[in-house]
Amino acid sequence: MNYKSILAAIVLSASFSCVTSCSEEDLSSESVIVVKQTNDTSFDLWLKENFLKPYNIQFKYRFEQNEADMNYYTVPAKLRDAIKMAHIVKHLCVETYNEVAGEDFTKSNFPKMFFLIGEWEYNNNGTFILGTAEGGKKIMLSGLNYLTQHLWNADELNDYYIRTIHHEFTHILNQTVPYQTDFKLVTDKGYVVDNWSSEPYESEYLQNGFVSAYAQKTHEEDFAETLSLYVTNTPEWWDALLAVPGCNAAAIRAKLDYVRDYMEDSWGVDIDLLRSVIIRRQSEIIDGKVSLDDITLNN
Amino acid sequence: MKTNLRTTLGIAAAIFSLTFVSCQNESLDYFGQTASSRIQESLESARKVLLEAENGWAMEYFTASGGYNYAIRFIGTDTQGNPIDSLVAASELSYREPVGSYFRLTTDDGPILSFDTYNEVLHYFATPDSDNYQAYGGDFEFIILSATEDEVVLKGKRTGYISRMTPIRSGDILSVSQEAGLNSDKFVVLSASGFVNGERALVEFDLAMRNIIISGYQDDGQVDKANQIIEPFIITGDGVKFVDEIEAFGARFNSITVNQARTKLLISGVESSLNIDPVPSGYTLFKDFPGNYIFTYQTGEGKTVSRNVTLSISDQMNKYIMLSGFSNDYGIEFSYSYTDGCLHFYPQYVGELSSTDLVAVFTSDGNVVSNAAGIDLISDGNGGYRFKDNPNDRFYASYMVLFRDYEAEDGMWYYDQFFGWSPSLFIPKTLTRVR
Repeated sequence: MNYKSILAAIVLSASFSCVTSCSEEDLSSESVIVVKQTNDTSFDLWLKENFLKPYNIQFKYRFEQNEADMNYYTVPAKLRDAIKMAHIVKHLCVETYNEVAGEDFTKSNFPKMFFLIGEWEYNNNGTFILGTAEGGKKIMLSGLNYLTQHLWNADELNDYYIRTIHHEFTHILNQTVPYQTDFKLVTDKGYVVDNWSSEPYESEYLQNGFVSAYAQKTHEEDFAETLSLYVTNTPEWWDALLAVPGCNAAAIRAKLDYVRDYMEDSWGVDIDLLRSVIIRRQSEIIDGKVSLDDITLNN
Repeated sequence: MKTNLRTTLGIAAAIFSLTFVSCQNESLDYFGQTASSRIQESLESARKVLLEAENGWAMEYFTASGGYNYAIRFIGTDTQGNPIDSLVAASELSYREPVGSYFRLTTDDGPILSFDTYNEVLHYFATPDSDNYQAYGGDFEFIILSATEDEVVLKGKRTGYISRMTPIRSGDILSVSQEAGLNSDKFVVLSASGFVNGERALVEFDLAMRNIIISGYQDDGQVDKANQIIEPFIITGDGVKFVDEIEAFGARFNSITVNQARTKLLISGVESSLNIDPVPSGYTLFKDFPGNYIFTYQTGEGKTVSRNVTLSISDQMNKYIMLSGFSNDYGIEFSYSYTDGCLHFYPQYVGELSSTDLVAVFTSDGNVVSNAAGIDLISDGNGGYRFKDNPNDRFYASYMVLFRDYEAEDGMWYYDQFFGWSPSLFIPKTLTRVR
């Protein structure tokens, strides 16, 4: 027997002994991970029936560090305002897209998670973040604890919350299907990143061909601002915006055309129909026709 | 060949040793349970401890803005009686009505107690605003360092400050918070001077930020500011207490008390002689301001007018007082200074006529908005107040149109912050308390 044969025999026997010596312990049938099942509140049960079961959407209203951006100092949402926001998202967003594009579109594309926080995410330059979209699936809405004071004014409700949802949903759609790169060429010299909140950009955005100051940040934000401002405001408002003296309306119209085509071609959504449905549903909320506090279950 | 055989045997020995090592872990089980089971057990134990204190817990809550007395009662049900972890909380700054919310025991940096729905009391110091984007140095998520029926020790996840909770033996969260509030109101020590362990010492209290500043002196008699000790404190029934022990003048201590006559500071077990310095004359306690008054002022036309007004607390940290009744629609806010015991005026927007038309009150010298130096409310010694005698003691109440856009000569549109304001002058004279 040469040394190769000796080595092979030893390795074989060692492996065998290794296997046999380690095979005595059976795996436990119980998981090592123990998760405490917290009891559902009545609001949790309402959320299950209205968001989780029909749309697989998680609506997180209690603070979780893992969902929050720890670069910002913020606080949890008030339960009362979280309940109102859940009703608003359902009536003004989820059911709007059901009506305009069908339930399948909503189920397939609408964000799978909402996470609410009570305060705005304040930056150190005096600006604050209204919401963010993440990974094509999650929308974080901030400033929930101010909802009640902005609730009955359509402009304020739009400016602080609803437009944010449509804005962030636009990012999610863009993250799933990119828009034409030609969009950013319309005002390609106009993107100023974080200087958007400084003068002259903060007050001269219309002259520069943007629908809002924030739209000057990047072309992604420009796209989302153009769509969200268009669909959450009346045609009269939009026309008045473009009629402001000095406004570079041609650039804004050109960009809106890209937005319109993108939504139609990529998602089959008519943005004019979307706008009319949003405005109608928004009025129903402002007029108090939709209960924002009722969390009783139908069955 | 000999070499090859040695190599072969060496490899074989290594394999055998590895074989035995690989099986060593079978016999070692230090904990008897998985990490997940252990942390869950720890959380269950903490939950039981928290819920079993029927009267609730007194909490020494330390923040970057100082230490405050809180009181929390943990409840195993929500307001409808459903088995949900909820709580009610009060604090020495807000003890008029307990505020309810949920809590959660969870894991990430260890066992965590999280106040995970907003509670106006518990989240006050953690709530940022546009002026303080990093909030006021408070936590609402805590690592549970220990939990027994006698004490729960928590560590703030963001600040790292230690907060301790002890069970309330008698009374409830409101009465405990109220008593703590009264203790804080009474603690009016701004500074004390003398000796500690034979060394000359100066002890100062920043009552607004609840920080103590302990200083020694240099050889030339100047305060040694380079080696000051600055620590947050919480006010107790007989003095102040710190998060941890302070080391100063060769002594270690975690509290300072005030003697019965309220003339000296005492440090337990330390040889000290610290005389409390008198507060400035006319010093008014914050709690003494709220009430009904007659506000007398002179208009720009020289007419003297008196109005019934009310002073009331307008914030949770006991730093602001609102004067209401001067106008039917708007109140004017004053900030309280713990240093001189006065209310100070500052220019402010007091309301809005529309989303662009705001109303402001400010002081002016030659139509330039000043910082209102000199307009302070000074006690007149009879329960009323006078406005500090100063040529600048003038208020302008103004209807102000902000952010109105206009077309300039160059054809462009601009925004103007101070367009179309029409100020009316009034000179405050006295505030007389209505008994």
